Amino acid sequence: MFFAIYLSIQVYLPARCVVDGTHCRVGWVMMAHQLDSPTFFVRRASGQEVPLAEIDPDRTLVHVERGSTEARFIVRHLCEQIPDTVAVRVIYARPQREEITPCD
Amino acid sequence: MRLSRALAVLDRRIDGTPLALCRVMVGTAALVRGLASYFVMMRVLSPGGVRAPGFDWSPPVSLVAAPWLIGIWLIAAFCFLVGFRTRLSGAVLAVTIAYYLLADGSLYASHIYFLLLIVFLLTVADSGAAFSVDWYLRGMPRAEVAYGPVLLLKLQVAIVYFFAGIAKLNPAFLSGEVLPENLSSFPDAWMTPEVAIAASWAAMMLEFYLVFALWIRRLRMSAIFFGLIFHGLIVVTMSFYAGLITYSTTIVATYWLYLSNEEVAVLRQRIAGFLGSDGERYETA
Repeated sequence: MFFAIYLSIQVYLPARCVVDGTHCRVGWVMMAHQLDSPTFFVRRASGQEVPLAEIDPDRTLVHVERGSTEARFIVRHLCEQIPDTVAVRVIYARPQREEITPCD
Repeated sequence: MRLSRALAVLDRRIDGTPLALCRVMVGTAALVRGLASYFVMMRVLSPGGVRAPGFDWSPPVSLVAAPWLIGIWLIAAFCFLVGFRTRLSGAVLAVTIAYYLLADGSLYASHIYFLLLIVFLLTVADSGAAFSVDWYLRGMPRAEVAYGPVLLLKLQVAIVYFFAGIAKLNPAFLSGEVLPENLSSFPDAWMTPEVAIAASWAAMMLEFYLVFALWIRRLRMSAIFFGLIFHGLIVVTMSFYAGLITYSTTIVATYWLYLSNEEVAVLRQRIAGFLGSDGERYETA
């Protein structure tokens, strides 16, 4: 029983990732896709927009562990950690698109 | 009738030596990963670290608790490695790793999840039955284990190789665009587009080859040989990073499980001789 249940789960989870075409954590993707390191811009209350690389060149305010963290968490972190932030603009390279997330 | 025959195969007793060797290597990988995880946790939990709670019910974790969690991880990994209270230490190690993975998305990595699964299966498989402190304290009896969990370990590795191969079947990877991004220790001058394409196809095909070649007696030695080179190259060319060392050591550790009875018998006699015990007691069942 244990044998069948374990095997079913271990086949189902990565197979589901393949079918869905998503970058799942349990999908054994193993560096098979290009890294998408988005660029972040912090929008101040004054309306000025500043690249994150300029605000935090030494990465003391924002440390992302090996690029494994989703952009939405970085956006939330920026809103919390950088004073006077009203929104964060994220530019993705693959596929090219941008998102603007207002800070709550 | 067929079901009972299948169940009989799973219950069949086999030599515990390969499982013991696998446990020692995986325990070592868990120790290395535990040490590295401490520094990762300190960075992620620092004020600048980006937190990524995976679930609403993710277990709490803090800078104060981190050394305790990693301390338990390291002690359990060491006990598991030497085979002291192997089932208990394996269970504690698996729970600790699971806690670490669930605590925050920024702590998650595929190789740690893989380590967790292998530690769990080695615990279920009674990997402390041979060449362990437990085994020594029991008077070094003939060590046999059930084949079912060992088969699961081998299937788990096949699943990883299969889906890793499937994931590489994408135009970006096969056109050589992805690999150079990851081969940080590989000299740029050598990374021509032709080399990148050839290496990408070779990695993909080798993973599919390993899915079945490890099971076929005639191909097994070549599979082990190419698998060792492949995982060695991953560490050397990508970066000497604890995660890659953990992944490569953990997956290569399972190669012991594919050895034939005859090869295992030779191995067991040599280890028994090294430990100064009576090799006669370990005759193959």
